[in-house]
Amino acid sequence: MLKNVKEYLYPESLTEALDLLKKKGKSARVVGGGLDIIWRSPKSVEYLIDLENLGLSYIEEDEEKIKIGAKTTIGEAQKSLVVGKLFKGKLTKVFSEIATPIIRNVISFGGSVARNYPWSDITAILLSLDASLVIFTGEEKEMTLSEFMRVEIREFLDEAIIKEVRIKKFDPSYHFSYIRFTRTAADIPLLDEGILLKFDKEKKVEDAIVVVGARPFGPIRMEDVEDFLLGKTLTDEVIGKAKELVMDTVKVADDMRISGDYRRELTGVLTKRNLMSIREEI
Amino acid sequence: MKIKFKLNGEYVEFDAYPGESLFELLRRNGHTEVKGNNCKTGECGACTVLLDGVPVPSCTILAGRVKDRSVITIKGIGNVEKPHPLQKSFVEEGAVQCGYCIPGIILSMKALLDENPNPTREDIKKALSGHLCRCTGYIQQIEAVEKAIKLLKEEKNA
Repeated sequence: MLKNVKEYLYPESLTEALDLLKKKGKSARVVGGGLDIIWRSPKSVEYLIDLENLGLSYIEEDEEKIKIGAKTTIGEAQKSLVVGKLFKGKLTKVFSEIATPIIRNVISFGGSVARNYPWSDITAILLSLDASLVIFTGEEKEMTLSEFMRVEIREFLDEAIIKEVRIKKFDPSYHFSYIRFTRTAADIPLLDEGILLKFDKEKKVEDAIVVVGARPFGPIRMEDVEDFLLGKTLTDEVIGKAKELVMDTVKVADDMRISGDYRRELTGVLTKRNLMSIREEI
Repeated sequence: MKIKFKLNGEYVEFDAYPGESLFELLRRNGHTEVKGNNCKTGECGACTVLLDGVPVPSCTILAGRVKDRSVITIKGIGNVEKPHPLQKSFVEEGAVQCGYCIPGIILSMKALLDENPNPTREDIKKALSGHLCRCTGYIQQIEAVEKAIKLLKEEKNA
């Protein structure tokens, strides 16, 4: 139990929610799925601001983007036909491998992004898909997840609320692969990697995103590797060199779970597996 | 704070602490059919309830979140006199030993069958994957779900 919580609040609009957040300051916390709050049970929290009445559980699409409301759960995304259309169902499969079915029904997109834990599958996946966020600060503004990850998030979210996550509707020239390496299927990753590649008609890489997460630091784009892949076809030699380059340039460290050396080795293995998985599709 | 919600089909209004979990709220109000130890991480799945028909570990849900929503515990789907086909098949197939994990498992299986009346064995295994059972093992449970699928079809065609 969060013993110091005095009030559970149900604002009726984003404006009201933001006013409450600003008024209560550090003693307030916005509830997405609530999993992190209940798990950590921080003593400093005295007010919980629930976004339940704001209609933020949705997955919609327009011509260019898929829009995922902040309170949408991973379980809902996994069942979404809109998400299922991306990468021939591969993103659905990726979502279905995170945690367990019952926990996926609690984890929200907004909460995952707001907490930005370094081991989060969601942030690594979204970063490799070049996702953006709609942030409410009195007015709505869009920012990329990359930009969001560069701000002091905890401070930033004292005066802002995440409303929506947006993913581009990637056309069939884009291919995606994500691997989470875990001790058990339901565990958090010891390391994870997502790769998004766009190919031209000659099957050369036209655009590339390579993201390594849970290093144990948070997910990061491997820009040297992305640059290396541009203009290349995925031959065994290119895949081998990309693997070496990731291992040479990635910043990893030891933690209580595995050593940095093991993680470095893993980055190479996951890079090879991801690129081979993509090559099989093109 | 007062929280009004539908519990096993009937409206209830409970006094809740604003920072407690749904698990704590239910247990404090006599719903000891919800098992578990309030681990707050959904580790074992024993405390699973259906929230608007979706299985969730009640230890991970803030009580305030269920306001005006529907919560179903194992008591909400059947009883000894009139068991749900899943409850019947779990007993008949020997899928219950200590029984601690079973309420959560049966509710997850109910949600699975409500959504997909013809799941494959793989679908059943995946739906079971959030639930730890340390004594029965999972084979009898999978067989019990397969039997319940048949019972539900017979019920529908009767």
